[in-house]
Amino acid sequence: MSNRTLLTLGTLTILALTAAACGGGSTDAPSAGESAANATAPVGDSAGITTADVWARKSPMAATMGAVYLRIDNHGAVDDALIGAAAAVAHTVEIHETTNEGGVMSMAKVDAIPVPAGGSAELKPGGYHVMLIDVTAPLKLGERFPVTLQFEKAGMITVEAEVREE
Amino acid sequence: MRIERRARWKAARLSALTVGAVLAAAACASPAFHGVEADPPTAVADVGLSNGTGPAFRLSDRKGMWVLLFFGYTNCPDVCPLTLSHIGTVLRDLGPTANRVAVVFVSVDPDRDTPDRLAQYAASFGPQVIGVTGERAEIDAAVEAFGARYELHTDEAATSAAGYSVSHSGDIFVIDPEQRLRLTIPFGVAPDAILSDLRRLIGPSG
Ligand SMILES: [Cu+2]
Repeated sequence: MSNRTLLTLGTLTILALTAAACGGGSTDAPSAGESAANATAPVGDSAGITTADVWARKSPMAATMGAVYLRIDNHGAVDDALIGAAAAVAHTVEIHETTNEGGVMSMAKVDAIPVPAGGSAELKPGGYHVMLIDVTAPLKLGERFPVTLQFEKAGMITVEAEVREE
Repeated sequence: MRIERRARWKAARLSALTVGAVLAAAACASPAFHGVEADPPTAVADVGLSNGTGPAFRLSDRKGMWVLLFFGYTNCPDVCPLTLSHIGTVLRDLGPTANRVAVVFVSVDPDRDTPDRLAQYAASFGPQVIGVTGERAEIDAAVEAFGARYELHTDEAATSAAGYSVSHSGDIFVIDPEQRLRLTIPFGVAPDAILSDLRRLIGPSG
């Protein structure tokens, strides 16, 4: 081994050791929405579609648009998809997706959110949401309201959304 | 000759170790920002927004304060309320230091965001948060000043009942009391991370 290699190895070791020693303090921010949604266990049947953690953001004052988020699990053997939604709290309800292209955020209506067999779909801030267009009244913290989800295969499933801060 | 060479290597190795240790120590003392640091801090062109019937806004009037500036629109159901709500959380957690922070929500949708509507919307996220807008040219100049972007999509009227949407930069721009850009925090950074960046930038007392 040459002196030069030893030198490099020694320096790298010191750097690695020091980095390890001070590693505790800083953690990287999770990328958009990559949070703790996995913690919620599915409820209901062991087969078919289940939902968990259904919530809507509290309306800021003067806001007329809203969003519902949830996790959908498909315990069945057939691929499914969320293809629509309805809720009495808004004049129109659609399925939307937020995308991030080089830091520029866009939102657009989508026809379907795939929920693969044995898999799941997450509707979360910065990703998919159920879009509430023209809410009939501001969504107040702690309120609950029904949302009917329409699936390609499983049909209609009505769930209850809870209004939360975030 | 041989001895001399070995001595040189020994010296080189020692200095390399020293440099390594110093670099590591520096990395230890200042963990990376979660946002993107403007290094060196860059002066921001003044931003002026006439704000319709509301009070006009000039960024230079906020000199002496830290300013968090974010572009958006009130009909934005996802990105804007998420980001403003994160900022609200951070302001609460900053404690008294939050008194030295102003939050400016700049609407790029002046046709729908009246000053009154904006004022109400912004106040929902905390007393330090104001919402302002202006003439299209003023908005464009403000967007330009931060290298941000936005685009109105009215073609979606055919497909979405919302009738339109606005693409816009999801960054939070952090401006220091000397009106220099210090940090650009991209969309989706968690409140804890924003808090740690601001604490580090603003410091406990200065
Ligand atoms: Cu939407």
